[in-house]
Amino acid sequence: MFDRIGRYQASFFGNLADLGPSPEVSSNLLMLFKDKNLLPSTFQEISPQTPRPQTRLLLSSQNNEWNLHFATHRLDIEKNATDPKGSNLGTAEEFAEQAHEFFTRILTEFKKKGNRISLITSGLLKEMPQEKLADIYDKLFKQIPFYGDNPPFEWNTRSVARMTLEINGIQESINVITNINRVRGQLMQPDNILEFDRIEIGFDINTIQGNQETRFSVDAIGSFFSGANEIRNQILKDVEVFLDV
Amino acid sequence: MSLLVRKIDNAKWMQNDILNNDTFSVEDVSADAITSLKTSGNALSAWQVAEEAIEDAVLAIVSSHQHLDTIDVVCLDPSSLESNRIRLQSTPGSTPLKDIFGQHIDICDLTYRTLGTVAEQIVHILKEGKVLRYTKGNIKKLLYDAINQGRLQKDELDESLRKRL
Amino acid sequence: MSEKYKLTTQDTGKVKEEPVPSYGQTTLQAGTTHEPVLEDLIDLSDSSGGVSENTLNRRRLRQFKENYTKELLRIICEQDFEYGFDSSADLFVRELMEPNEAVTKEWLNAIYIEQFSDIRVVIGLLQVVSHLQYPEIYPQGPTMALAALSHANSEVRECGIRAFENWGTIESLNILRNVKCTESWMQEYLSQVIKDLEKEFGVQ
Repeated sequence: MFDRIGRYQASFFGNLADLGPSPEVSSNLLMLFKDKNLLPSTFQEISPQTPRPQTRLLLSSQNNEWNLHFATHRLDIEKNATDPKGSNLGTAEEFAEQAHEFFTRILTEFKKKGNRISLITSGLLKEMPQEKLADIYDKLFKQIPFYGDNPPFEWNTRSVARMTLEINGIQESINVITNINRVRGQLMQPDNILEFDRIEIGFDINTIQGNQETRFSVDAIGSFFSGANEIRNQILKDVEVFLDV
Repeated sequence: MSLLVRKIDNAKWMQNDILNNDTFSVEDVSADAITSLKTSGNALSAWQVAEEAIEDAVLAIVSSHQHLDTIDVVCLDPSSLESNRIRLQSTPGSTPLKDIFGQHIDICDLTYRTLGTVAEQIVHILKEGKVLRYTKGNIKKLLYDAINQGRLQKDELDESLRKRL
Repeated sequence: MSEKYKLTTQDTGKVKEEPVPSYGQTTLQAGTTHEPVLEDLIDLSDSSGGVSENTLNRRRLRQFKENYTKELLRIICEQDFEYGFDSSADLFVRELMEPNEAVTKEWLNAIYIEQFSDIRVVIGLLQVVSHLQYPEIYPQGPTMALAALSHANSEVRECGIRAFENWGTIESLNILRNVKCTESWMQEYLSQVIKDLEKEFGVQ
């Protein structure tokens, strides 16, 4: 369905304060991911929990395909495109499997459990004629007269639903966030830059923030990813039919 | 027997698998290694010392440094150089180690050919495993001993080096 | 996060100068896990004025990248490095460290990763960081030196060991104890450095 993948990111939330950019931790992680040729560097963490910038550890592949951000209270694993078409990215399921493997290594080595998990994906649909883009807007919006008379060329929708998902046999509350946007921008090509005007669909499926109990193990992550991707695929199917894309 | 002691950049010389290749000759030495010799006025600098006083030469070298970096030195054979028509000339050295002032030598009038001769000697030394490496710990000890013996004045060292001692 | 497409802004139709993620979420939005922990954060244009320190730091890092990277790379490639002496790169970096240590370190680490396959640059950067004091260059210095220890090039690996040797801390010793070198000359050097450090710290 997607013509271009924008991002894949999986996040694990827990107490990772001890996984700072010390030589010991860096060395340990480098050994752990020796087969992946990840290089250590640092990034500045700024978050509500850490309002003063903190230097934290980042593991990256040299071609920037993988970035592992070890923030104080979260571990983000992201996969990036290594060529304009993003031919390395694979499906969301494949990414989830790879991310799960990374989490397994880290959480097992450092004996960590978490209180929240998330899966974030986004991408662009293929180019469509202006009429089709307008038609999609009409299907999604009951627009006010002004925008009926002056159709927008950019718009965003964000829907957040709460549901339960069984994660390792336990019913967990999750947020399912879907963004459907009409966006304009530039596609980076090797020899040129292409302007685009497309539909973007993004997902942020995550366990609720409210439950701070440290309960998610490596198995739970796998179970969550499986369930999250099922929900994502269901929504994508709905979108495909509803918007006829 | 006297030797001419000179600092080299060992990693550059080791670039082309010099140790594991029996047929390795000076012609196989990497360009980085040759250019790391850095002549000035077609001359290379060295300290002439007796075999048992190599550390004096090392001290002469490191006492003019700004950092306690590990260094490598080679001991060239002056007679071998001279027999290859390479001129050696005594010139004033630059070092806070006063008792070795008069032992500075320039390996002079170097050309493409004679620089190759010097490189050949270095390759030979490397293959024999006779490059001498002085780590930070070794260098610190040399400097401390020299200062304690009164051979070196701490305030004549570069400020940066002084801070690190 | 570098994406292969970037969005034009809604207001002006012009492309933003800096790469931004493709969605305009903030941490205030309910349920979201897309928090701005990454370098390229969204600058929320705020009519109430006042630029936060975080924004300033991000801008400074970008400025460093734009203004100084090319110059530092040129210096490293053209300089005449000799062990024991300050290099041109040493002086250049030290000047930048004075007003803003944090951003300079981050910038050095970023170049290091980007240029990891360029031996000259990697060695040049390692030589610079090894000449700085450990607390000055922590944590990026040891991070870079650690990465060097598994580089394919032997000279880079040696520079990694040299850096830990120069810093001479107990962490350096602990790292070096876990290193194994394939080249016998480097293993000899490593063993000597470990011995020196063990002697200095009175440990075995």
